[in-house]
Formats: sequence, C-alpha cells, structure tokens
Amino acid sequence: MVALSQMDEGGAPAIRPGDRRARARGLRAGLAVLLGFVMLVSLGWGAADDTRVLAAIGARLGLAEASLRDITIIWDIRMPRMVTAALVGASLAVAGAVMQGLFRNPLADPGLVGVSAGAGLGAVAAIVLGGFLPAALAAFTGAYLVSFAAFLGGWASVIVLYRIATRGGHTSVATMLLAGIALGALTGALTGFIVYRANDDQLRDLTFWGMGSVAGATWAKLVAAGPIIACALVAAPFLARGLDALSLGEPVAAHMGIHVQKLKRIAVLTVAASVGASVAITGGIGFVGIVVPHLLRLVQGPEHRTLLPNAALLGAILLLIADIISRTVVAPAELPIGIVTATLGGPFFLWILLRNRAILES
Amino acid sequence: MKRFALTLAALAFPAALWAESYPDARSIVSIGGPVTEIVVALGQQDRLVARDTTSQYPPEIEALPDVGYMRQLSAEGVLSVAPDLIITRNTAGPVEVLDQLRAAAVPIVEVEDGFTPEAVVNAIRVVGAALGTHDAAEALATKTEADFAALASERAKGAAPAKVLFILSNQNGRLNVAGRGTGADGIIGLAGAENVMGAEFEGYRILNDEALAAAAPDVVLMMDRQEDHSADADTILSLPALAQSPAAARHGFVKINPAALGFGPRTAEFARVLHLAFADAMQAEN
Amino acid sequence: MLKATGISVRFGASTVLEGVDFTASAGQITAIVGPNGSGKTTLLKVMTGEIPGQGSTHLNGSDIAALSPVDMARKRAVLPQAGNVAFPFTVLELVRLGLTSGLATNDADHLDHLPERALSRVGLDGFGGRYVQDLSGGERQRVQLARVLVQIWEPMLDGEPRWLFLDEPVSALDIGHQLIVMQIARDYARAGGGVVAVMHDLNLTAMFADRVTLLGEGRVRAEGRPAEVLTDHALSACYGCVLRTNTLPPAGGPWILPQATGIHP
Repeated sequence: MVALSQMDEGGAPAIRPGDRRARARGLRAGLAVLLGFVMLVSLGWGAADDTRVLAAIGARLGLAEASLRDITIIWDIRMPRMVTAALVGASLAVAGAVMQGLFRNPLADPGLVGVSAGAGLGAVAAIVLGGFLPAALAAFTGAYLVSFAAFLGGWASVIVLYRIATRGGHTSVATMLLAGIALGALTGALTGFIVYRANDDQLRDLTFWGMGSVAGATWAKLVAAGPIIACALVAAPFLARGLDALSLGEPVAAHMGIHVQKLKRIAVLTVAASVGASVAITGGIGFVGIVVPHLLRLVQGPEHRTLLPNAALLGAILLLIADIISRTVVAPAELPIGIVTATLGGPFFLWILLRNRAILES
Repeated sequence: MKRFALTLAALAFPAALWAESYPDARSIVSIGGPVTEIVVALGQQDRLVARDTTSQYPPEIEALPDVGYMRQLSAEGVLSVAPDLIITRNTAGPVEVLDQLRAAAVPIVEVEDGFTPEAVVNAIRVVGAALGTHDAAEALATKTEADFAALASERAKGAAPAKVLFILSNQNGRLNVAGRGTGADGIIGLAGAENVMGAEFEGYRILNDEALAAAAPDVVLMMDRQEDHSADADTILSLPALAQSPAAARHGFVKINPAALGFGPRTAEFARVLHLAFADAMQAEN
Repeated sequence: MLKATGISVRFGASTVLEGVDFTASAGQITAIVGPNGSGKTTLLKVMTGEIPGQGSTHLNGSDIAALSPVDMARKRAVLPQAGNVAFPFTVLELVRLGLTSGLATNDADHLDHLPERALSRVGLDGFGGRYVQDLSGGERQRVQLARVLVQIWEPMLDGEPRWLFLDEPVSALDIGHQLIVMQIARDYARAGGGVVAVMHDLNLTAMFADRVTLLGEGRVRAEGRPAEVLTDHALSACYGCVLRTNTLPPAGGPWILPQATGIHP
C-alpha cells in the first residue's frame, strides 16, 4: 500500500533545501519492502530448519499436505511470533517517539510515565503471588495472568501519574517526570518486597521476564493485546501535528492552534495502552523505543508526521531481526530478545552518537 | 477444559498406575536434571535426542543438544530436534510453550517434583512407565527404596542430629540460606540432621546476622562449586554472624555436590555421604 | 479590534496587573511599553490566552475564552521571546510548522511556497536547508518571525483583520534587522492586519508605533499616540530616571535621550 501511494505521486520532486519529506517517503517505501522481506524470513527460518514452510502454510488452507508438527511450527509458533514481534516492535518505537515528542527530549522513553515500572510490578506480583489467587480466578486467567497483571500494572501507574501531574486542567510534564521518579522508586520497592518473597524458580522467571521474550507469543495473547496495540498505532499519526508543534514548547504549540492538554492526554494514554500491552506479552524489551526514533530523526528529520509511520516500520523490522537472532543463534535453546536488542542496540547507538556529536552538542 | 479433565484424572489415580507409556518413542527430550538421571539409570540414554540446561549428569549427557533453561523453553527449539516424547519435571515452562508442544502432538510426560524418598521412587516409576521399561524401573525403584531404608537405619544409629545451616550463596557477607520446602532441607533431613532454618521460613532467604547468630548451627553446609572463593570455610566461618557459632568452634564446614539439591536416583548416596560428613564434623568437637 | 477590559493577574501574593484596559485597532501598530516588571509580557500573554487572568479579552468581537485553540490560531499569531527548539529542525521545516493551524491563506496554490516567501520577507533567503541550531540568535528570532507570518499570512481573511502579537520582536537583532522587522510589522498593519508589540526600545516605538500604552507597576500610566505618551514627565515617572524627549526631523516624532547624571527625582 505504502509503496503504491509512493508511485502515484510520480515525477521527480523539485529539490527544496531543508525539505526532507521526499526522503522520508522514500525511506518509508524502502522500509515497507524490507519489513515484508524480514517477515518472510521470520516465517521461513527457525531452529526447526527442516520445516516444509510452504506445505505447512498451504495445509491449513486445504491446499497441501503437511505434518502436524510442521503446521504447528508455522501456524502456532512462528506466525504468532512474527506478528507479535512486528506489533510490539512497532508499538515500542512509536511509543518512544511520542514520549520524546511529548517531553521534548530525545532520551525520553515510556519508562518515564511509569509504564515499565508498573508493568514490572504487575508481572512480578503475578509470578510470585499468583499461587494465592482463588482457584476459580486462577483457572480463568490461567497462563495469561502475568500478561494481564503487567498490562494492569502499567496502565494503573500511568493513570496515577497523570492524575498527580494534572491540576486545574493542566498537566505539568515536569511534575509528571519527577512524580514518575518517585513512583518508580515506590514500585521498585514494592517489587523488591515481592521478589524477596519469591522462591528460586520464581526468581529465575523474574529474571527472564525482565530480559523479554517473544517465545510465549500465542494467538490467544495476540487476540487480547493485538487490538490495543493496533488502536494505539492507528491513533499515533493523529498526534503528529501536535507533537511537531510541541517541539517549540507548549505555549507556542497552543498559539499554533494545538489543544495541548488534549494532546498530552491522548499521547499518554496511547503510550500507556500500547506499551502496557506490549510489555504484557513480551516482558521488558529495551532500546527499541530510543534507538529507532533517534536514528530516523538523523536520516529524515524530526517531523512526526513522517517519523511516526517510519518508526513503526523500523521498530517492527528491528524486533523481527532481533527475534530471528534470538531463536536461532543458540538453537535449540534461545536467547531472551532483550539481550539481543541491547547487545546490538547499545554499540550501534553509541556509534551513531559519536558520529553525530557535532549536531547533538550544538 | 482438557487440562481440567487431566487434572481430575491425575487426582483420581495414583500417578504410577495411571502413567502414560510410550515404549516406541526413540527421540526423547528430557527436561530436568533428576529426570535425565533416571532415564540414564534405566539404561535408555540412547533414546535421548536433547536435554535442558539443568541436565548435566552423567557428563556424557552434555554432548546432547541443549534446549535451554527448563523454565524458559522455546517451542520451536524443542520441536527442531523432532521429539516423539518429552519427559519433564512438572515445574518446567513456560505454560504457553508446553501448550504449543502439545498442539504439535508431542506427548509430554510430567514428573512430580518433590524432596522425599517417595517422590524419587514415584519419579522412577513414572519415567519407567513412559519409557516402557517397566521391569528395569521396578528394579531401580526397589533398589532405591532399599538404599533409603539402609540410610534410615544408619541414621537411627547416629547421635543427636546436628543442627545444620545451608548457605546457598555468600553475597558480600550477606548469606542466602535455606528454609523448608527446599532440596537442601530435604537432603539435610535425609542425612539425619536438622535444618536450623527449617522451622523459620520457606524457600531461600537472605537473613540478618543476628538471626544467624541466634540459630547457632553446629555445621555449615554449602555447595561444592569450583572457583567460588566466597564459599571458603575460613571466609564463611569468620563472618561476624557465624564466628561465635558452634560450627566455627569445631570448624564444622561441609560441602556437597550441587546435584544433591535435586532429588533423583543418587539422592540416597548423597545423603549417606552427607550423613558421614556431618558425623565427622560433630566428632571434631571432642 | 482587540479589546481587553479589567485585566488583573496575581501570582501568589504579588499583583502583576491591576485592572488594565487595553484596546488596539486593526491597521495600526499598538506598542506596549514600560519598565521591567511592569507587566507588559503578562498583559500580552493574557490577551493571547496563554495565561488566565481576571477580566475579558475580545478579538474581532469574540471573547477569546470561548474560542478553540484552532480558531484562535487562525485569528492571531504570537511571536514569543526567544524559545528553544527541541529537535534538529531545518529552517524550512520549522517555518512550515506555521501552517499547522491550516488557514494561512485562502489561496491553496501558493500555500506550499509560503515558507520560502516568509523567509525571504525576513531576509533569510536561502536559509531553508540550514539547521535552526546552527543559526545565530538574531537569525533564529527572524526564523520564528517567518513561522509566525506563515501562520496568518493574509492580514485580512474573509473581511476580518488578523493579529500579530510580538513580544520584544527586535531584542536580539542588530540595528539593520530591527528596522527590517519593524517594517514588516508596519506593512502588515498597513495591509489591514493588527499588530500588538511589547517593546523595550522607546525610539523604535516612537518611530513605528501608531498607538502606545505605557504600563507601570501593573497599571496603565498613559495611552495615546507616541507624541502624547512618550513625554518627559510620564517616562521619567514610570522608568524612575530622568529622560529628555526631543523631536526629530523629518516627521517630528519624539526622540528619547537618557540623562546619565539624572536619577529621578
């Protein structure tokens, strides 16, 4: 779709100094193609390299014969993983870009509004205290208790922060930042207290949860979390104009016709929903939210109307690649994906920073 | 719903009687150290195609592909070794991955975890049934029961039980010690000693120095890990919390094989060795 | 017509503005002058809806309290005192942000090229591709002015005047660019728009303003044509020092000369 609309415009656009939109559109087309390619690789390549991919795809559609094992690998393991990695990558990158726009700081990440700390607390509580749930409730939530609790925790802490920072219809971003630090410390303490109660196995689970994984992706989780993430991704572009204006400061944005309070509310809720849902399925995955928008800003400029869609595409691509690495490099075991994103993202980010020192420090 | 029905069935029949059997399985993934040990003890290691990270005994087993830590399995990783049976401790996970494996029509036999002789014997029967090696399993179970019985009579001859403190780790002077419901607690009991923290709490805890001093253990027990200098006898026994304890006075410090914390076919032997070690340590007093 | 009535603002215990009435007409530059802390910028902020205050402000007959941000943005643009830009925008991208409210002009065809025309207007031809961060303070100030001009490019739209609010628009500029910027304001007013400017420089005010409001300690001290307001007595009382006003040819406007020796009274 993206590639097609690109072709409609046709012709060579006049070269206009300082206008990077054409470049952004070209980039978007390229990223869309790359995303398609990476998705195919993700579906076609894995630890079980003897899987007959095409036959397995065809089998569910009644077009071919394949073993139950192959069908399961393709349809119930790789596909939900692929979709989850793409959705979560897109959502983390877009949420990062939105937070950075909102806080007017290229280092902001969703953690600033308490999503991560809250989700962590929820997950820890579910892992450690899940056994104390009434049997009926435990049977109902089952394997999804951790995801559900993480989403709830992330969402709840954002709402609390937003309430604290809002007075007389005005939300102070600075208050939110500071209260976020306080709330982070508090949730950290609560988390620590619960961790203290954890047994050995639970401790291991907690450690792995913190490193993130797409391995537990299932259609059931996607059905629950996917629509939330998708809604947030669809809502994000509507924030673009406002976030662009906000680059000049809140008063200026208001003078330019932006309803700043509404913008802040929608941005915060969008981030809370999408990151909460993402963290719920995959645990903690760092770096995507900071690296992707930053990289794109260097290439195509800071305009959010082009930044947000491209961030979604690049975030999806990066997480898909990280997932492919995480599940093949130590096969048949697999690395937590958070380790892969941080290992690749850390040095890369440093390299970008050093290369662009002049711009950043001016 | 299906799982609920299975749970009901499991409750209704003793596990060993009801246990599933897959005598034709030739590509087996074994998950959990004790489970793997039982498979090997039953002479069936040739049927294994992969193991998890916690399966490290006997050493030859480490040549098999490793499907990862037992609570963090990957469905595709396990499927990539094309198993026709998975035998696993019931604490393996994540649940979603086990569900995916079941969806791929790979039978999964779960072995109940436990820190008692009964749990070991039951595990041997369940694994034996799964492998279709009923006779070998019965023989091993009988032998294991006999080992435990011999251990019990040896225990009975011993003097008053030593008060043992199990230290999982020394984190810069802060000690992580075992309460009840742990493998350490189980093996200490089998060795005829008393876990000083057995009545205090469940699982592992980092304790404050005063509680440790008040516990006054006769013997300190730690895992025998190479290159772990924080676990030297002198280092541990000179910590303020333990310096005044009977253990420090008689230099009562014992190390065990880490494998002793997971209960399997070697448990009776581990317990016997430990029983002797405790007796030695207590002798040192006189 | 801009009409503010009974504007009072208090920050905690201190009163910044007390019952200020202010009017400005389209087609004119109306300057707000006064010493530091007299409430000039606060008055501007209340009238642009940036901060709340007692009293009411009507812009072209509409109470600004009842206008949505977008409606306001289509009626008036505001040039703030120097502010920072969060991300590495090029000059063109920043000026283009002026199109955010989406009603710069009714002529959609040349909308796309407004940023370049605005840049040319403020003397920054060919600066489109530069990074805002790399510019001098004065250049940045003019880039912001270009953005503000883009927002309300046509001084009259659908028979209504539009308004340019300038908060110390020339404070960072050299004398040549001061004149360029004030000339832009004058041209905007001559074309039917309204201009309200907070000014520090009394002589530029005397040269360009059609009307002047003199504030002192949160109250209106004088109001009228420059020659009526910028008098020895009013200025000396207000600024707390001895100021001498002369007239300069050719127009005979006032010219204010500070006296180095004289601290009032």
